[in-house]
Amino acid sequence: MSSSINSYSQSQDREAFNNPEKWFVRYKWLKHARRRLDKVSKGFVKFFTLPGVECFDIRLFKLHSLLKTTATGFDPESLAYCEEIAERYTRIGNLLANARRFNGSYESLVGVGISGFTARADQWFPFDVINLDFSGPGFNQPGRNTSRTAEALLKTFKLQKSKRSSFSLFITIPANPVWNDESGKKQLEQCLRTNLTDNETQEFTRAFNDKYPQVQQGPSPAYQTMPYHEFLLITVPKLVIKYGLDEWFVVVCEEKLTYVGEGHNTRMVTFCFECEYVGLPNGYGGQPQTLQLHQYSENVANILRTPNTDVNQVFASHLKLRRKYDSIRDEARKCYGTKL
Amino acid sequence: MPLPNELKVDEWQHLKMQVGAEILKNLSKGIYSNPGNTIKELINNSYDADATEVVIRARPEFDTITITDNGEGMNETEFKEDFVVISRSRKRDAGLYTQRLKRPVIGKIGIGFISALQICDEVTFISKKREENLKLEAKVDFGKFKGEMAKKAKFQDISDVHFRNVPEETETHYTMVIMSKLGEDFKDILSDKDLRGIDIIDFQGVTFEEIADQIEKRIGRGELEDFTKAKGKRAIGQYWNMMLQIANTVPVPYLDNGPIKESGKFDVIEELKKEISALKFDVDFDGIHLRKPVRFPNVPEISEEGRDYDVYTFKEKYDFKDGSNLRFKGYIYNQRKSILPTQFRGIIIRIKNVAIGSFFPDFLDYPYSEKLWLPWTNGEIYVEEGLEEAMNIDRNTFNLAHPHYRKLKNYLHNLLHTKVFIRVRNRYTSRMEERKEFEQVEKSRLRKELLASKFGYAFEIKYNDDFYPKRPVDINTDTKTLIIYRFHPIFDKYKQKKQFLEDVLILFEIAYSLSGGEGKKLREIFLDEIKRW
Repeated sequence: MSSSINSYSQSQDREAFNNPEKWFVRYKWLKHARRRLDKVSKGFVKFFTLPGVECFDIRLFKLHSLLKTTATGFDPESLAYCEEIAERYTRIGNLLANARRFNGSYESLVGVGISGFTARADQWFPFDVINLDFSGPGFNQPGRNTSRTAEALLKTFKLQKSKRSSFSLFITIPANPVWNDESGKKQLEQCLRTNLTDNETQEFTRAFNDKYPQVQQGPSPAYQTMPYHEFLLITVPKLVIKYGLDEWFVVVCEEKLTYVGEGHNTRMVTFCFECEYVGLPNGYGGQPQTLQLHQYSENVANILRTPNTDVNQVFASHLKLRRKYDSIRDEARKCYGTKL
Repeated sequence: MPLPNELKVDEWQHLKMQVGAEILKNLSKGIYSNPGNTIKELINNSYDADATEVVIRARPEFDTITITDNGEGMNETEFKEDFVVISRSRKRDAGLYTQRLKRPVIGKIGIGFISALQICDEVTFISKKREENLKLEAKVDFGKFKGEMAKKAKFQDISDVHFRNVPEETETHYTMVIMSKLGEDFKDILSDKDLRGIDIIDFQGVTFEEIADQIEKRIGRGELEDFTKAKGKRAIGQYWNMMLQIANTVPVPYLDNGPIKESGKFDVIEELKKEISALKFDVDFDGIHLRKPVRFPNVPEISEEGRDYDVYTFKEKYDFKDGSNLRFKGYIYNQRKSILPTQFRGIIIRIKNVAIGSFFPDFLDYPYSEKLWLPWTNGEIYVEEGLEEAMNIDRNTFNLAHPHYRKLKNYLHNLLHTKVFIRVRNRYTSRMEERKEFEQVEKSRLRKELLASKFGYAFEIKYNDDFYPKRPVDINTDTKTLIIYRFHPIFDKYKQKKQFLEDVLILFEIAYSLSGGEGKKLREIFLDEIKRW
């Protein structure tokens, strides 16, 4: 029997994604999505997301006129999503008429495990803003050398490249070493180790060794010797920047945030990337490779320069700000179950 | 039957769903004949579950179709009762009315749900009953058994069902039906892949009211005659056609000014509208809140009641010897030309607010010779009591020999024959006479203009009733008079084309007068006039 039907409590689901810390992150997404809107000429962004049952990110983007809507819902060109669990998929669909939707995982949507892309992904892509808010475990695929999530990220770049389209990419994953399986962690570790020995990223190596001397000196993997969320805050951007480079994108990690949502135990990490396509219209390169490598080195070095924003600490030191996001959460409660 | 607290929780269980072979056979003629009927049947299930809101999502991918309602929901016990062996339904065990909203129950054998097997291979069913703390999840797999449908067993397996109960503490109550693995043919139909070289009229992004307005404008401009056939190179897509057909058959309210634009004049129609609105049944179909699409008159040239159209309302009750009753009310609308779109021609019968089939264009096999006027006619009959037993299991047709059906049919035929079509005939005759009079005046004016242009002065036109005139038409330039001898035998020969012959003879007389009787000149002038005429 397929296990695609999972139980969940609707009320818990709603509250799980409605906390002030998460809203702080959503407003960061909004900031970057607006920047992307300024770069595209159509007056709306093509948005892909993995929404929770209350679709808070979509509500926020709609409120700020980033999406194209009609009298009966959304323009399918402007909004697409996928959800694996049938009940959630249906509940989300009930709120969002006419958005493109897929009852399956993001990995299946983009065609992880198959050569090429799925017909659906080929039809849906490109997007201007892609929000991969993985509420469940990221980088997990027991028995595989590469994580399905990582492969899905690579496919995302390949799909965007096939349409020569720049985009903003938001990634959120739980920083829980138990949830992220060994293969995924090893893949991130491998990516980190490669950079630490790479001549092109010497500045990164210096800065990293200064900050985490125990990683270089000790025999244990980095994900065991440094705080796990810090491990992710460094390695995930590295992986994404690397994937971008391979597909002729200049990727800048604009935001790195970490938070534990009110009422939760699991620490989350969130990244906002700006991915600019620098390839030729035929998809085969563009800028001189030396220039691109230079940008790559710069962007990798920037990973450590870009401060990690700990949302909980921000709130602790700015109580007014905390109260502002508390009231946003309270307002959001009034939207539960309402159609967009 | 186990009590709810004896149910297994969070544990997948398995059963096979069976259906009586005879039912399956009968269904294939009705519900299964049109994929849209599946959705209609599921909406009717929601209505029977006292839902006030139904949300359907199909577009834009047609990858899955999901139907969610806020009805009373169903638990494991009820699910098994209804679906393990589909040959009966408990829907009416509780009485003829639903428990909460006291709606008249439509369902008969729980076939709405299994009709889904026509369009998909897999259905996920999730339901939470009011005031219970378990929700039921069931995954129904029809695919495996589809090839075996032809078996002649008394009961046929039609699906594997895996189900479980899951704790849910919320006070919500709902039912979700998620149809996945939709048939490729069905998807192709909805995506209009079969229509080549046709521009599909797409109503994406507009409200139902706006769709109705657009349809009306297109009909008025002569761009649309039928929902399913192209007019020129444009046609309404199958998806929209399906939506309009569903809207017409489920218990949703009328458009604000439907079904008759000046319905305020007709008490029965106003009563019907209020009753339907009071059901508070909202169907959100891909963001469009469905309304009954019928709204007459729907073309600009039909505007005046009595001259262009007539409306007849009725409200009847009959007692039968077996103690049963038949109660119905409704209206007949008739206009002076064919009704468009063609889908709206005929009579629709609604039992407890739900349509049986769609419009019957032959008005239940109308036997008299006025069939010419059937396409000019539309009507609705709401049956409040009775007739249900006359409905065939396909829920689209009737048992022709059932006394309720016969009574209803005879009433309808009698109404049409002795009232509606008598009025149509009178209206037709009076319109013909009006037209004749108008044509006569117009003809006379044109003839006077012609004579004035040829002779340079005004003529008077007179009709003479002498029985033995010398000529059929005479022009007297002295008295400036054109005389037409109506009883000249030449007109007897061409009764149907009398006007035509008159005109030709007038032209001949003009030519004769202008030529002074000279043969060659007469011929030239006559032929020239004929050419210009």
